[in-house]
Amino acid sequence: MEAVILAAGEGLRMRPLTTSMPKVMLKVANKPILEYAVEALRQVGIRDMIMVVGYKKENIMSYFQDGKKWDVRIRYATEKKQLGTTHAVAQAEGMVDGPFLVYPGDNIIDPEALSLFLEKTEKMESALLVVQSARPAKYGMVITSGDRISGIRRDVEPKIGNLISTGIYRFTPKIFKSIKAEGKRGVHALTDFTMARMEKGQPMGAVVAPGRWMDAVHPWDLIAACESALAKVETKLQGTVSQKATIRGPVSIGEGALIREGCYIQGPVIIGRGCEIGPHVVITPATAIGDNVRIDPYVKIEQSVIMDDVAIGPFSSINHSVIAPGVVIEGHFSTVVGSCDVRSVHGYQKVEMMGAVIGEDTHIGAQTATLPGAIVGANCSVEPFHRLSGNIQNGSKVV
Amino acid sequence: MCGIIGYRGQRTAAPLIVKGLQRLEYRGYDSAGVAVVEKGKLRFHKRKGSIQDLIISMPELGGFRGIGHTRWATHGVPSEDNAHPHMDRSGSIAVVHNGIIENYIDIREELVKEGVKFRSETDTEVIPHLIAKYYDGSLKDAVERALKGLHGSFALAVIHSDEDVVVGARMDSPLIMAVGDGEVFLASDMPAVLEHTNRVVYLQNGDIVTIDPDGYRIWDGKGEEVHREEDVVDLNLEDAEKGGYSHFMLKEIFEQPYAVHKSLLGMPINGGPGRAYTGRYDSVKIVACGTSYHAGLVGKYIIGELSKMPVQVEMASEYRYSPHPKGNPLVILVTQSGETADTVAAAREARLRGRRTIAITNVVGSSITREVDHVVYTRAGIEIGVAASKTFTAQVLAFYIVALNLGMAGKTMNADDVREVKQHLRTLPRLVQKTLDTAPDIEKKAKMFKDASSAFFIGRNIHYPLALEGALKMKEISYLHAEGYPSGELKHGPLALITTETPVVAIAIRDHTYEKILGNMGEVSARGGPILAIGDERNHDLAKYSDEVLYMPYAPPIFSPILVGVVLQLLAYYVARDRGCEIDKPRNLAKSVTVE
Repeated sequence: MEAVILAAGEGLRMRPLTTSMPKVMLKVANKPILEYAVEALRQVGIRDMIMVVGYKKENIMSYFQDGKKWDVRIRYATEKKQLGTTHAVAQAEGMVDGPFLVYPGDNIIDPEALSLFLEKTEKMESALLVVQSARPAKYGMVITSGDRISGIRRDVEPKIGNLISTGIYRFTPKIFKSIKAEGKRGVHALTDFTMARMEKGQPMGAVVAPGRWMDAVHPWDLIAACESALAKVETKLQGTVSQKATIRGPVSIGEGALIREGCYIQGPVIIGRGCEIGPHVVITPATAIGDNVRIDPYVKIEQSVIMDDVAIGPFSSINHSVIAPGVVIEGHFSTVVGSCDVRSVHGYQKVEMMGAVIGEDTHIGAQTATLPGAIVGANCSVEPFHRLSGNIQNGSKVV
Repeated sequence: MCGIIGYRGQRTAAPLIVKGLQRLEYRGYDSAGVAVVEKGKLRFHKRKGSIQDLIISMPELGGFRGIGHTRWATHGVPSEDNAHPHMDRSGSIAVVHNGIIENYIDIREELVKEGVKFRSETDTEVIPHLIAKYYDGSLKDAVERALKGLHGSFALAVIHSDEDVVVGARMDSPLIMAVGDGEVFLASDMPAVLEHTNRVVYLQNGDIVTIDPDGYRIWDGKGEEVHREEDVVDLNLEDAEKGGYSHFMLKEIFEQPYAVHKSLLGMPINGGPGRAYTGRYDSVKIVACGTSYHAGLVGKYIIGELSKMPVQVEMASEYRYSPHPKGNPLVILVTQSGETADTVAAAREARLRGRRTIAITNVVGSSITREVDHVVYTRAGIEIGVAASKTFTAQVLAFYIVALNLGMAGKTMNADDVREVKQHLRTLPRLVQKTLDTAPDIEKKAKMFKDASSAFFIGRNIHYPLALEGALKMKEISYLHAEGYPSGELKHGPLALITTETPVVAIAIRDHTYEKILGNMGEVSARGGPILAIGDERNHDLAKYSDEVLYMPYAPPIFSPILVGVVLQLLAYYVARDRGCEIDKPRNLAKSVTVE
């Protein structure tokens, strides 16, 4: 069995975090989302993977190389223009030898669900993995009859059911022919393709799997994804931790990191390699801090995602926020947390609890505050003493 | 997924098959096997594990026809029983198979009823038994009949002890036929046989082929004999390993953001200076060869600027025979491989002279690491392209770390200075990425050099070594005669060579030498020399002084060598490609020079 992993898209709704990397390379608990996919597939015995790459593909190829590090074999197919998910799958034609799994690279799923799916679909030509969702309206509902799909509904009508598509399919190489045929008719998305097959009287199989499934769509989803992934973190203290620092609960600290005296870290928390933290920094549960991050004295970080190479100045307070790589924040910065409506590519989204999202390499001057739901683009420069709210475009100068 | 191979010809089959299997090892390495016909008898050998395991345990196998297989167990265990080739009951037919037989359970039950005993759990084993059942003097006919009952995907190669023929068949799994001189191969993929021939016949689904002393014949799915065109493939052996890039060098150039990130993490900079840096020495001497020497020249400026130490740089081959002046320098030896003969010998010499020694190298456990007091690993990952790219960048990075340590140990840098340098280092992975994002522009402007017969690279101060490195890269891979000069030296000689045919690359970063560089560029354009300037995005006036400009992101001058290095690597790469050069293996050169 081989797997075709879809990793070519930018992830528009993930902006501004995707300026220099595709969404699947964003780290959840210090590990790229795509790495969870590779590990889950490996765990169910799939060792042969074809990654369909496109947007900023060098990022993916440099990280995963030929897959030896994960005891798998990875080959790459390049999708020059990202036209849709079936178009992406079609790039793997000629590279798969037999039945294969299509796996969207931005999914995080329990391997148990995958192995159940593989087991139940062994005899099927094509099948889709569906899961139960508390908020099916967000994704579009899958309607099944028996072990077949009988419909996919995009409209919001919560009564119909609670099953949603994971985008994980099983196909045989025969599918390429009909993907091409449908492609000529303008069908480029796997959901549309599934519907088209159904209308032609060739319904796909459906397997409902229990267990955790998650796809990160918006930047603030990374906070919840991180919390969920950190449930598995174990205490591992590398680097240098001052004896006068307090570490409670499961906390993982990477090689070469330095935690100075008076720090108080309550796990689950993960801290990357080479970080320099403290003195007197407080970090609360469900926080992930990337590699090479500097956090100055008297900073408080609550349930946030701080990516690689970030520097945070003294007396700052960061809560329910996502800080992209290379951001530099001067002292006395604070994020105000609350419920808010955030503008995204497809209209406004209601978010219950959120601080701010700050794009990569942005420089934020001292004494600045962000209001709930503030999205600051990449490569911005903000002068001291500002209150930021709403969406600030990439490369803006706030004076 | 598995790899298969078949051979019939005038050479001994087994070694050729094993060599081919090694080339197919990327398709799987859980178990492997070979079968040949030697003096009318079928002999085979198979092993669980890698092809290497197979080779070690292999008895001598003769014979001029045979088949081989390497297996990648995606489902089911790798074991010797399950390894291919599979044989029929009498041991006269052997089969290797890639793919899946979907209806093998039904066939197996039927055969068991007929009294056949199975040795393995594989779907493949039904094939030799079926062929044996139908065999009536013609292996091709028996294979054809057997295939009619099989559903699924397969590529097969079959031999029989009594018939001088290799039969192949293809349905939905890859199989090619490669035609050499008096010999024919079957293989899952071209790299398996590329060292013997580049003439290939791409088999179609449903095809059956026979290879016998008269050559090869092909029948299509309808059973009619067909003629298929031979193609000539233009492919080199490593394509499979280049992970989507056209050359290792390009792959390595584009890996740099990740390599920089990894290098920085691998060189701890938290806490105080390393023990190796404290002690009595009055200066620093950097010793290296080639690209590492250029990294050392950049290092001289970095250490001089940041840690205010006097620094000398010397070529390793010269250092050994140089006089011993007074003083006690700390000797830093730079070699990517850690095996460069001249540099390793220089390390020994330095020790004899009683110096403290530090090596900067990329290879853990290499020879130089045993000769020095302290090692700084660059951790850039393996580099295969002969022209150094990411390892040069990582070596320059290492010098910032060394400078920080020297500065802290010698108290010439305070906590604020250290913190500032570290903050700049943090920005480098993304600055390198942004520099790589300008590749399409570099590709376009590289055209300036396509038909040039000679080129000059000029730079000042910390960018002078980059001019040398840019010229070296250009020489190494594009065979274009190129020389690097400090831009002030141009008027002391080389200017005589400037014509409209000799493009000049001017590194013009805005630092305290910027005005001077603009002046030097004026000297060149007055003689009609075309100028390609490399500047950062803030140098808006650069276009006025040059024919073309390559803009890179801004970084403080002390950090810009890293970015300029990336631009020069890409420039050399695209020029070499446009000139049709062999990029990963330039003529007359080897990756690490282990002779003196």
